[in-house]
Parts: sequence; C-alpha cells; structure tokens
Amino acid sequence: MSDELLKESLHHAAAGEPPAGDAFARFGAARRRAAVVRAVTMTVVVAAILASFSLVLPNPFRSGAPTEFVPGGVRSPDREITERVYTDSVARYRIAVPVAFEARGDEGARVVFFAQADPPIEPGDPYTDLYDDAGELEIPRTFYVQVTPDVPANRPLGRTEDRVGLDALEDRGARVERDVVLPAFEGQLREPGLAVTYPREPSGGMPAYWCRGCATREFRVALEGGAVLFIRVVAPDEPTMTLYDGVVGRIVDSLATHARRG
Amino acid sequence: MSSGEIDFRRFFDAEFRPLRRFAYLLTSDWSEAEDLAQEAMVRTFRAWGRIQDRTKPGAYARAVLVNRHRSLLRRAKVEAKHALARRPDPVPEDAEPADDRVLVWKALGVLPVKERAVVVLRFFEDLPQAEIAEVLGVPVGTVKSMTHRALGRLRDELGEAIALVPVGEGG
Repeated sequence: MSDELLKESLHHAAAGEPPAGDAFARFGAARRRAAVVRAVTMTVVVAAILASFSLVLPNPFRSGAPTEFVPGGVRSPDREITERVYTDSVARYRIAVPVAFEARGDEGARVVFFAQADPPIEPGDPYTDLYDDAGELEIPRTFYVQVTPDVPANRPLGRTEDRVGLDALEDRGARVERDVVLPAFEGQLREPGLAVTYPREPSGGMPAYWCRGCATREFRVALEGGAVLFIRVVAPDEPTMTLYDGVVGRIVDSLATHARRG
Repeated sequence: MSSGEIDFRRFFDAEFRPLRRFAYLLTSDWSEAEDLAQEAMVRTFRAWGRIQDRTKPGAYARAVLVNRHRSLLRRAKVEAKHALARRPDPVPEDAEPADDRVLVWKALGVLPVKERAVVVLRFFEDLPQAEIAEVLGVPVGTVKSMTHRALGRLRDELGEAIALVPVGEGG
C-alpha cells in the first residue's frame, strides 16, 4: 500500500500540470538572459581584475610620487630660520619647509608651513637642506619652500623674480643655471578661500611648460589671506626628468590641498 | 542549426515537461517549477558539448535542477521555514479533504530537498537507486539511507492518519 499510495499521491499532485505552451521559445529567451548576465558578470570581473592590477603595478605617472611626508632629515646647524625637513619614505624626495601652517600628508603625517615664520623669513636665508644623512652634498630631489607673506593672490605670476637661496646653493656647490627662463605659470584653480596658481600636471605626457633639463621648477600657491606659498624645486638635468615633473606636480597638488584643509 | 542543437532540441521536447513535473514535485509551485526547469535546460544546453554520456542528459538536467533548487533555498536561508511554509501545498481541486493522497502530498512538504528528491525520483520517476545516486551525486548507500529517513519522516508526519508501512529497498 505504501508504495502505491506514495506513487498515487505524486501522480495525483502532478496531474494539475498547466499546459507547457511554447516552452522552447521561453527557453530561448532564458538562454539569452543567461548570456547577458554572464557577459555582464565577466565584464565586471575583468574590470575588477584590471583595476586591482592597476593599483598594484607601477604606474609611470605615479611612480615615486610621495604619498606621505614623514618628519625627519637633517637640520643644518647654520640654518637661521626654523625649518623642518620631510622625506618621502618611498621615493626619498625631501622637502624642506619653513615652519608655517600645518597640513596633513596622505598618511596623516603633518607638513608645517607658516605665513609668518619665527623668526621671519628674510631674503637670502639659506633655507635649504643640502646634505644627506652621511654629510654628503645632496642637490637632487630637494625641495626648497618659501612662504612669502602679504603678496596679493592675484599678482601676475608669469615669471619668477624671487631667486632667494640660489646664490647660497651655488656657493655650496649646487649647479644652478642662472639664465633659466622659468616656464610660464599656466593653469589656474580657484576655490573658495584658496586660489592656486601653478602648473598643473597634465592628464598625460609632458606638459609644454615644463622645460626638460631646466635646473629649477618654481611654483606659487596663493593662500588665503594673500600669502603665497612659493616652492622652488632644484633638480639635476637627468633623463628621469619627465617622471620627476609628474611627481613635483603631485606634491604641489597635495600641499595645496592639505594647506586648504589645514 | 548544428547537429548538437538538433540533438538538444529533441532532448528538450522529450524532457522538458517531465523535468518541470519533477521540479513541481520538489517545489509544489508550478511557476517556480517552470523557472527551475528552464534554468536546468539552459545549463544543460551550455554543458551539452561536454556531457559525455549523451544517453543520460536527463539525469544531468535533474541533478542541475536539484542543486539549483537547494542553492536557492540555502541562499534565502529559509530552508526550514520554506519547508514548513510549503506544507499547505495546493492540491488538485477534485481531491477530498480526507483523501490519503492529499495527506501524503502535504506530508512531503516536511522533507528536506534531497530526501524529497529521492522520494520523487523513486516513486514518481521510478528510477533505480543507482540512477538516483547518479542524479544526486551520492553513493547508492546514501540513497538507501535517505530513502529510509524520508519514509520515517513521512510516517512521523502522518502519524496514525495513514498506516504507511515500510517499503522495500528494491530498484
């Protein structure tokens, strides 16, 4: 009885089957839907894989770009102004900064700038850090930063007049080209409370206003209150200049951004 | 249309409705059964070229269907609730309330998917235990124990309403 009852129950239940209609047409539609879902899924997966690779593999435009500024470095005994030296832990770029307002690096490290340094910055102050930890003269990849107070933000910045520090650099053996025609400042970004005027890194390739082989790169970042953050980069004439330029652009971007946040 | 597609079309025409009935006996819902059967057919078609044993693509489709049904239930994490919720299964209109067939059909709702599949494959599709094992991807011994367990549950569920005597292990 049990076998029969079970069988009967199942057949009885299945007896109410609705007509199948054109099942094969519905199958075709289901197949197409499944194909679309598979294609979308594959696209998403491939995109995710590519995105992961792009985060991990070296990117020529991000190569060596500082992601954090770590306090450290050497304070020259003859320095006459307060200064902090920050070294990018990845690319070993160094940035020497007169103590000023504070800004945060990407990893939370603080970079400090002041519109009013203590003691005040005087023209001719050698606010540079030319020596590495071993006491060797180290010119490349050092950033010289000056804060110039009370300069109107809308001051024309087509040409750099201020060459404070270059003499001192040269005295110390730095190779400084005196006749460099500095690139015009192109590109402007104006935001509430902060007008930034400096060459911005282009979306790709080497910007026209970068001169390959020039010994200096100079930027001005106009800050709130009329102060101008003046950044001079001295770099050697080396084949890696293109990458180096990209890095510089990122640093300036980063500093300006963090200055605004700070 | 390639020969493989022609073969599949023949298979589809012959097997779709039995597959849908099988799905219904697992789910107690004709629309769900339709979806499951279609999906099983799509996956079978996708695997058509690599199904070595073309004489048993029906077993493959049923295996896909059972697994898909289980994974849907698992995903919803309502398998237990689902089984209970399914208990008031729709019954044919001509059935009497006290019809034993109705009571047994309702009792099937308490079975987990695999045990229910075993019962359906055994008592509806009349498959031998070896083929049931193939569909479910388990050893024959497991099919026997699942059958035993399923019938035990049914007996417990039906209580004294129906004297469901143990069935043989034939097949």
